[in-house]
Amino acid sequence: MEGQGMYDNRASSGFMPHQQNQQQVPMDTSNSAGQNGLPVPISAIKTEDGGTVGGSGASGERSEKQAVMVVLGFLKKHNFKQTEEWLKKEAQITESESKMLPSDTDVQSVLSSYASDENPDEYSSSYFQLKSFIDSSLDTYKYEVGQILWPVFVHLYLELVYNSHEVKASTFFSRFSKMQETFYEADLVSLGTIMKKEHLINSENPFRILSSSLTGVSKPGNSGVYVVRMSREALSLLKRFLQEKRLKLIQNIVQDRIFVEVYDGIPRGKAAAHVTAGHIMGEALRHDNKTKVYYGLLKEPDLQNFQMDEDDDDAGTGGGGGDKDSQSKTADSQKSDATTGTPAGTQSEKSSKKKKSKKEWMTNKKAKNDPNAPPITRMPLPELRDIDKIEKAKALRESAKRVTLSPERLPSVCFYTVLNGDQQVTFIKWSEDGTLMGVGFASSIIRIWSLTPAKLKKLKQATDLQDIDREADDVLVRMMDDRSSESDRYLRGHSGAVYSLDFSPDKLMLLSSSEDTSIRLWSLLTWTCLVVYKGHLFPVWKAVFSPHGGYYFASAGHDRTARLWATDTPQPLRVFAGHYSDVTTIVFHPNSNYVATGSSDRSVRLWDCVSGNCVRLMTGHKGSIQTLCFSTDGRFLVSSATDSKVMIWDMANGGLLTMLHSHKANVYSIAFSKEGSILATAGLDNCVRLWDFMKMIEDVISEEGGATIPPDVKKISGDNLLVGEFYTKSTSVFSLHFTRRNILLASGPFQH
Amino acid sequence: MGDKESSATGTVLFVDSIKSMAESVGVANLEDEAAKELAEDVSYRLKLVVQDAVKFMEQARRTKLTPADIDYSLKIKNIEPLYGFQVDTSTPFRFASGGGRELHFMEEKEVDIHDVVGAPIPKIPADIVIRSHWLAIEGRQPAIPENPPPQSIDLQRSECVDPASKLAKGNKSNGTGSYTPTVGKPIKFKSSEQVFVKQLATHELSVEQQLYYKEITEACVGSEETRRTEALQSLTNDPGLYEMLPRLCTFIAEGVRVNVVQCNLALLIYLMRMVRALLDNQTLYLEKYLHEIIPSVATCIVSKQLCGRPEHDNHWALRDFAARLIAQICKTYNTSTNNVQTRITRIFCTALINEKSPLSSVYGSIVGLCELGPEVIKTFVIPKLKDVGDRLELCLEGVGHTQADKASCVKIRHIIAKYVAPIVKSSRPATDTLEDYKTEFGYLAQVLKTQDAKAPSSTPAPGILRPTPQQSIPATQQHTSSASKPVMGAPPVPVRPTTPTTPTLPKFTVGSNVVVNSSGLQQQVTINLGEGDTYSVPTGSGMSLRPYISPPLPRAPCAPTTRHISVIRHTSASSAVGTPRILAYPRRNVNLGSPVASNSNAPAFNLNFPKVSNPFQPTTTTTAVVITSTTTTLTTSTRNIND
Repeated sequence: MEGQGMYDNRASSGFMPHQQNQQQVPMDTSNSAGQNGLPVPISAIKTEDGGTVGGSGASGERSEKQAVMVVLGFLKKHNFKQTEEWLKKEAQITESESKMLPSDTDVQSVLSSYASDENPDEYSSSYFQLKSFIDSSLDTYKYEVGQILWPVFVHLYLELVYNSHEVKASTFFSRFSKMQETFYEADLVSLGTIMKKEHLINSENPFRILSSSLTGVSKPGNSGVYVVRMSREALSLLKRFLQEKRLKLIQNIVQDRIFVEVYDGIPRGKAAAHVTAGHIMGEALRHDNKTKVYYGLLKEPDLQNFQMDEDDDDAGTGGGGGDKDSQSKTADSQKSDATTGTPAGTQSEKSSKKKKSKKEWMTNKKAKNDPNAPPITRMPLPELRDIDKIEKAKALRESAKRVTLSPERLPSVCFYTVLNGDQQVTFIKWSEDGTLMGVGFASSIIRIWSLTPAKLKKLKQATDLQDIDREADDVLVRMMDDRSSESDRYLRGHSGAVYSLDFSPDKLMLLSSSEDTSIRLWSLLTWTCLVVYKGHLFPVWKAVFSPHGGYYFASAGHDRTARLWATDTPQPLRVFAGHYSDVTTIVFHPNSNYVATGSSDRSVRLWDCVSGNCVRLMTGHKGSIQTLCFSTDGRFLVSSATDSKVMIWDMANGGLLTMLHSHKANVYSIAFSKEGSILATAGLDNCVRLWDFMKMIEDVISEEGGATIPPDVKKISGDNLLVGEFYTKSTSVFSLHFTRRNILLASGPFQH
Repeated sequence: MGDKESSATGTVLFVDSIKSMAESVGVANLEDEAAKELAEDVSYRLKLVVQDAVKFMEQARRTKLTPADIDYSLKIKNIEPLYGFQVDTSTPFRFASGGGRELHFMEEKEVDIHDVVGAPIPKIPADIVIRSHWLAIEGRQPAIPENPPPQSIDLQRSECVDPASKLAKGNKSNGTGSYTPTVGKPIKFKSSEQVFVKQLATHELSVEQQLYYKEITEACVGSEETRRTEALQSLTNDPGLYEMLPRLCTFIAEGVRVNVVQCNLALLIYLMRMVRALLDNQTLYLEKYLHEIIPSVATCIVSKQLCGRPEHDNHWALRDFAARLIAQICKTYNTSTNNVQTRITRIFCTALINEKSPLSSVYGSIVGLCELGPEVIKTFVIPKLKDVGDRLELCLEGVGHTQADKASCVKIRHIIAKYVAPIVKSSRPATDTLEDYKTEFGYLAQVLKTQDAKAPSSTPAPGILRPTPQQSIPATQQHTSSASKPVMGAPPVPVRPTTPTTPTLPKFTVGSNVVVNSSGLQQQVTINLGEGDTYSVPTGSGMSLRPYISPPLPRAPCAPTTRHISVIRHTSASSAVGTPRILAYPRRNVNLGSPVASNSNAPAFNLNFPKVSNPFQPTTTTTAVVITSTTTTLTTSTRNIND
């Protein structure tokens, strides 16, 4: 149990985690992956805060009791004797009942609901009846009702396996597996691995997630039941059919193991029903995406004053400038509190404002506060240091020279080919200003290249540093050892493949995550490792810095959790648990208040860094998510997955905006131009594609209220917005980055 | 149960595999039941391992699963990784069968430790370096070697096979560069009568391309060998030549026509080297231009006279070189629909059997046929050996033949000895005596027989393609058919041969009626061939390429240069407007034309240029002739403009 590791040295700053949140992840220390060990008790505890109501009678008395039993088992296991007593008393559980409690395994108790004495021959015929009923039903309802085919198939199969009808299970599987939708291919493969009862109990079984939902105790939404959204008519049609035919088997499954969220309206067609399918647990519930998300940007600090400070005085007064900034910040935040209205009412305002916002920002006039921006005090952010301000001022100056991109005026793409690195390069990252390029290798090495004539220098030895006149103007230059200048440098320290890198905004630090389960923080002055963050138990797929000051960072790993860290604490501040499989990628929202995670359970989630809650769940990808990227205005999230599709989501309501099908292979990098008008995507199909993002979101902005599910099916494909397509010879593209002047940098290893 | 499962999802290892694995670790006689149990469990675990290994592969941004991924996957399951399977290349599985069993296995060689220790240290792998280039500049992809060719060779090929494919793709391909959503939209017949027809090829060359074209063509036929090498290098390697291909091919075709007439051996060689360079370019698919290239190359093989002094100059080398080119073309571009090889073979046969064709043409046709491979030699050359022998005998033993003819005879004998003799030997019983040969081959028997004895090892070029049945059409018939065929580029005012999918009216034409040189300047460049022969050639993007064969015109004053520029502007303007093209064009029959032979008493099979007359035929002073030709050219073009 270490997920609760809330390192609270910042209590004074009000950064106290919410209490329930601490219970989120009981990391079981056994070999099994992730929160798999104890999903049920947790959800049972959390019923209040979830606030969801199971609509379809998901909980029977039997299962209620079972849940209590499981909790009891948990308490017993961890020796919470008093609590156990109390619970027993309250739940009126007799001693004899409590002895029934399986000693070690909630797992088994969970699975025990599969126990059934049905005739194994009925499974096939029942499913066949269901299938033919759906095939013959009206087109209007066909696809909606058809959504239950997959979960019913899975549960029937698992039930057969659990009751040791192995041969029957095998024939059932081979008979119906071909009839499943193609995008369940990957799941079919893992389902096919389960052929025996022992496999099902084995903790590594990937389908434990689904089976864990079988007890029905867990409330939909948080963990648990397969979710299907269906229109009222479609559901009643299904119910009637099941009653008429007395398909008890299927009826049970639909009642206990599938959560049907009913909505009023026209049933969806094929494309609409399929577009959001794919997540291992079905679709997102309406409730999942109800929480308000402050997707607006924080106000940029006023840098003009600072620049004046800079010009007038020496660096010594920089601190004063900083104070001023913080003062103005608080004032702003108060104002923004006052102006924050309901999001629906202010969106038109926002949209009209958005077009102007760039100009305003450039001229640095007093911009109106974004109603969707979080209060500045919502998440404590580090104060701007001088170096950040210098960097920001530089960026501002550069941005004045920027070319404004549009479909008629596409960017230039500069491609950095990594030669001799085929099969070795795992990750490429640029610093924000595009001067440094970091490459991670499978051989655990990190290499940093300077892309400008400026060489990479090392800090002088401590003894030499003493001699430097600290008052000198060029003290920063003097600190560096000229003899050590090189155009590229190695960082060695990891003991496994490096899977991600990120530069801090001030370019002084580098973060790396690796297969060796550690995250390392490197100094780009001394070129040594500063800190090793150990917390993940399994390979860490991704680590990213927050865009504000390089203080917070977030990581995602194979242990199915994402974590939020601060550089000065050795333990994570938050553990975001909820994904059912590896968290493959993570990205900070531009306002640092949220992180978005993508997982190989084929869902994208948005987490609130402050509360630690999952505030958005987006399903629709048919493969494991590979890359995420927020649009520059923070409202839209772009995701790509191994299904080689790119999807664009609206953070306002979690709705799918559009889908790009043009790529032929995994997309590994997504970037937005600086003003956000052009979206660039690239990946293993050796092609950089540019999209007219403005047009993509135009419809949404004009429509008000954002994208809604079900969206107009025709609009789902955004392929007509492709404005540029540039193939490389034989280089897959690992990384894209727009420089401050809107030159697109791309990079990848040349394949022999 | 696994034995019956064919789907990837429910498979388990075969019981037999488990048994043979058990055997390999020393467990004999594993019971079926146990093996089955093991098979299921092992498959289950393997699948779990692979499932996680795939995650490592995805995160490492690869599409190939490596042993390292498996190791990592084992590691996260707390299993000791399997060491020693790290290999750079993919591990080959060997297959063996026997005794009713089929087996896939990895070969494990026994390695002597001394060999490993004693072996030289392997080369250090090349350091990882970064190289930058512009993938796109303001939305356009520059045609540089780092970028893929704008039109990939596969695309070019598919367009050749199916011109309609271009239309279908119209929507997508225009994504690059300018974004014009109107192009390719379904035509609405109701609302408007306007029909959007997408230009199938951009035939306007950018300024850079024009400059490039000028530089390349000048360098290729110019005097500086270093520049020429560079230019040819560029033609061989440059990926962006697709758009210029029509011009380059026309340049070559016209160049050959002109210089064959002038007997300008050096230039012909240069042009053939250009052909070679284009053929070698990996990014070009030349099928659309074969109708220009093949006649040119064939001309250089069978033409009666290729040089001013046939008795001295080594035009044989050119013929040999061109023959190799033809063979290369056949190898690359012969398809069942265009029958390139059949038609080329026919051309050579026609020349070979014609009693009147000069000996140099006979030489050329023999070389050409020989290069096409032993099958062709067997079918077409060997039956003719007797006739050829008779001619040689007549020429060598008889009187009244020129030195040049004699040289030809010697050469023919030599080439037959080199290519045909080994084939003859292999096809005939070893018991044949010289007498047998004599009855069969007549005069050449001696050559064939002695060559057999002398150099049995010399083998001909490997067979390229088998001759097809059509090739055995009676020669006379072929002859007439080839003569009556509409031929390309027939002056005086030819319809420029165009590739069907490439519209005419290029901005930049090397044709008989438009002047290439945008500057209008003409230079005299002297070519030193090394043997004291000096040729003077006007260059300026191939000025010697004027259609030399046009009917003699009264000498007109040189047209003012402004005229030429205006011509170019005119064409460019008209091309910009663009005329709707016929989209589907019956283009399966590439008109190969027929080779050009320069002289008035040229063999009858060459009827391309009926008006070719010899008055221009230079004797020794090539320079003078060149000047004349230039003038003629200019007049021609002027006249056409006036038309």
